[in-house]
Amino acid sequence: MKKLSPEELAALGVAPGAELRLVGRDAPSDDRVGRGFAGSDARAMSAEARLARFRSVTPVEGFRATAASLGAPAVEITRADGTPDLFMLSLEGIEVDHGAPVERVYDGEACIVDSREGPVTLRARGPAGDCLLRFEDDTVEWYDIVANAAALTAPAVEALLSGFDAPAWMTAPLETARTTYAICAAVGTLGRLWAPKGTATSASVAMQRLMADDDPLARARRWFGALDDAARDALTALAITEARALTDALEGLRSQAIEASSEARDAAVAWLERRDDLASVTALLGVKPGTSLSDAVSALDRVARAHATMWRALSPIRAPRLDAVSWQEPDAWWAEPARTR
Amino acid sequence: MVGRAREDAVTDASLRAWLSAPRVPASYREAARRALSTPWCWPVDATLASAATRLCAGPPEGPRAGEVLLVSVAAREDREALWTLSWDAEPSTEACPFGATAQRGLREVASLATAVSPHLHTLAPLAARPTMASPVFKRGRSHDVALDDVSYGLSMLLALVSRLTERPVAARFAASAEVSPDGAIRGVAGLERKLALLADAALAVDMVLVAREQRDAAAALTARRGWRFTVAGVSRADEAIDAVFPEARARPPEAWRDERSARAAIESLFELCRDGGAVRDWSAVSRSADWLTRAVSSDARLGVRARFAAKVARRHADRGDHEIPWGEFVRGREAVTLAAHAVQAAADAGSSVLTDYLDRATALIAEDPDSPEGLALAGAVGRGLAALRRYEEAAETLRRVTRAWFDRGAWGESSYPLSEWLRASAITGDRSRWSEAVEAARHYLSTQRPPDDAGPWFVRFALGRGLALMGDPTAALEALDEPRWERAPPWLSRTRRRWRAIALDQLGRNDEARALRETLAREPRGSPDVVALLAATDEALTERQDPSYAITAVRRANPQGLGWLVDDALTVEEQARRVATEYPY
Repeated sequence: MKKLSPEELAALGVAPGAELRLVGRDAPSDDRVGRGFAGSDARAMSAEARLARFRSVTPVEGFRATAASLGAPAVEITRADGTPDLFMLSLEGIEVDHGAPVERVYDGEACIVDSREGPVTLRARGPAGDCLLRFEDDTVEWYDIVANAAALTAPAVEALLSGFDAPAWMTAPLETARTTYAICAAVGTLGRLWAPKGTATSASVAMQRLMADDDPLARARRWFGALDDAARDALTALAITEARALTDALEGLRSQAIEASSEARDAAVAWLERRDDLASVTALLGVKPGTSLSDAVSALDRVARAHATMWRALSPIRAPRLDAVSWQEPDAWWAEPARTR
Repeated sequence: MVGRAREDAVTDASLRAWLSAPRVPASYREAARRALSTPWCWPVDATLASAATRLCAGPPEGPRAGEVLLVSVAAREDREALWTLSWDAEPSTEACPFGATAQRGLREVASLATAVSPHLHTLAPLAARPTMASPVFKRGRSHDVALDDVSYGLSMLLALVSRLTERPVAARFAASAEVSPDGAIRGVAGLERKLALLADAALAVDMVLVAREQRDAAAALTARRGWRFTVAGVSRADEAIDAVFPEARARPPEAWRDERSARAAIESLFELCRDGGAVRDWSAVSRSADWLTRAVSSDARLGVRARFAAKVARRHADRGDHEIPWGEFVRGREAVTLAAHAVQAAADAGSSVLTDYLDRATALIAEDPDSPEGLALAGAVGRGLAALRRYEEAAETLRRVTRAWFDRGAWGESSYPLSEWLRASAITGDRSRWSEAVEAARHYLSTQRPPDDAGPWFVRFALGRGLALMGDPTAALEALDEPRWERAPPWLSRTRRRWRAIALDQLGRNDEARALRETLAREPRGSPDVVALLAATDEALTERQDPSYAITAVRRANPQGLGWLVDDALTVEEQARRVATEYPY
């Protein structure tokens, strides 16, 4: 999504400094029709004709968890099948702020979003929370609004390694991370997964640093321990959001996996590495059982394990990061596809 | 949408659930409105119907004749849908086109319909096949861009029979089954999802027709899930048709109470009987003709047309004696065409008027010998000469007519004289004449014919029979063993088996011949069955037994075309030999 300007965010009532965290995205699958595309399909349409397009609709399934988290489980987004950039948002239990005008129907029970002529952004407010909805062409994205996430400064790689060397897949994310979640995930990953194997560091030197509580994991924990409570709370909220987003993304992954293509395999690797990012974040947070984050992660893992057939179909997966997880953390189920030989 | 279907994961959008709730969710209100605008989704349950009136003014009309409900499931996605198949529908942008397999299914039901339709007065809908279906209700992800499968076969057949008989299929019926070209009903994949969708959205449907092989499983599932329809298992197309149109063999359609409809039906019926067509069961035409004859008894012109049609249809249907009196019917602008029917009927009936009719026909032909009507009448004259056992004259006339049709590229018309030319020239035993006819037959069979044209079966049969008569049983078997005979007219298919047995006997494969004749004798048919009697005659001759019983039974049955073949002056053996080798059908 194009980054929203401060003015656009202000128009939607989003506080400056708030972090928008992508929760889900829905785009129609290709209809497998070869087209000649003579020009734009954005033809003027009467209100009646627009409403008639909703005689055949596809619900945006992934949005349901977010609707529940707003405290408005009856809220739905549906897409008009024949005009995939025409959406209906039911408004039962929520209010919406919008920068661009939207057409309310059924005495305000729902609104129609027509993104054929440009992107439309809405903020939906429910009794238990709010979210941002962005409709652009035939794609809808929804975001959690994490307020007051103080901008973090990522530690230098050297501050964590202190003279050790490490593979690029481990250090590169930390050098490029900009958001709270990404910075913490990269720090946690470097701490969790650094090992002398495959580096110039000998096992005895690594052991000396470990005994001295000065290994990369200890350094990562100290860096995180120095953050204030607001940053920790923000990270917890972001991790919960990420756990739900990963759960929602599983269905799309399953559909792709049926094709068993290289794209499907790449998507699976990306999903598994996001799951490992979540492990890195929870390692820093030190999650206790019975908390919201613990429940969200448990729910994610429960659903993901139910897709055993999909993971088997995609095995073996070769990715250096998952390979490292597979031998360092035997209980990490998401490294199982890399473990299969 | 294709035949392979997931059996799991049925999505939860449900018209029944929406109408049971205080109000239909806004996101699905338009979808509900569209479904309720069709007769299959309007609830029979009074409470749900009351809820439906909050969205729509009242129950929709229909279905109309030619309309049925289709049920589809996507193979790899959670998506199921209901559609209207309307045999007369014009293409629309909202409708979904049929893919190649479904189009083939439409062609196959068009071929089957004339064998199973309870009554018939026109073949026009067979050619005007629909190309798409209109959406009624859909649930699940995305939407379909094509409908393609064999599982729509039974629904398509019901739609076509509805269109042909002008009887609507009641909205209480839905079907999901494949129909094979011989009318057998076969099971389909994804039935659980289809039934679940019908239960949730087709709220007027109380009976679902499925293949008998799937009936028990479907009924058990229906009971377990508490669905409110009955599942009926059918194994043959005609069973399904009798279930959906229980009155269709007993009384004419309601539509014919309207005088204009009845008049239009008579005109169509007259054209069908005058021009002929690929009808596999003429008793269905005969039934329509009888009803329509009674319906227009007060209108002289229409009465003549209806009676003419009734005679032609009955002659084709029971292959009995049904003369078409020249004086009553051969008149007006169509005299030449109608004369061909009068000549043929007189020949088939063995009537003493045949010679007179041949003279009158010859005079008519002379007025315009090269016109299509003149050629058709000349063909009938050739067949009449053959009926009189004037085979050499017949062969020459039929040769000339066949060649004339060939020259015009009129392959459809050429098959009639060509078949009889083959028979007549083989009976003469003249090798030169026979070779020319065979060459013409090979040429005809090498041309591309429409799949529903019965001509190639007749020519192939006549070729096989002639080869057997000319002492070439191996080639005869080859001609008679061509595949796809299941789509041939049933009586021709049986006659083919009789001539296969004759060729097998000639090759010394007597046990196979005997077994084949036994199958003909065992098959339940109308009484008496002429093919079985002729086969018994063949067997008596081959095994040097007394043919008296068989030939007496054949003569008592007095089938079409027996006319001049036998008389009491001949010995029983000579009668049997003539019938066995010369009988035309």
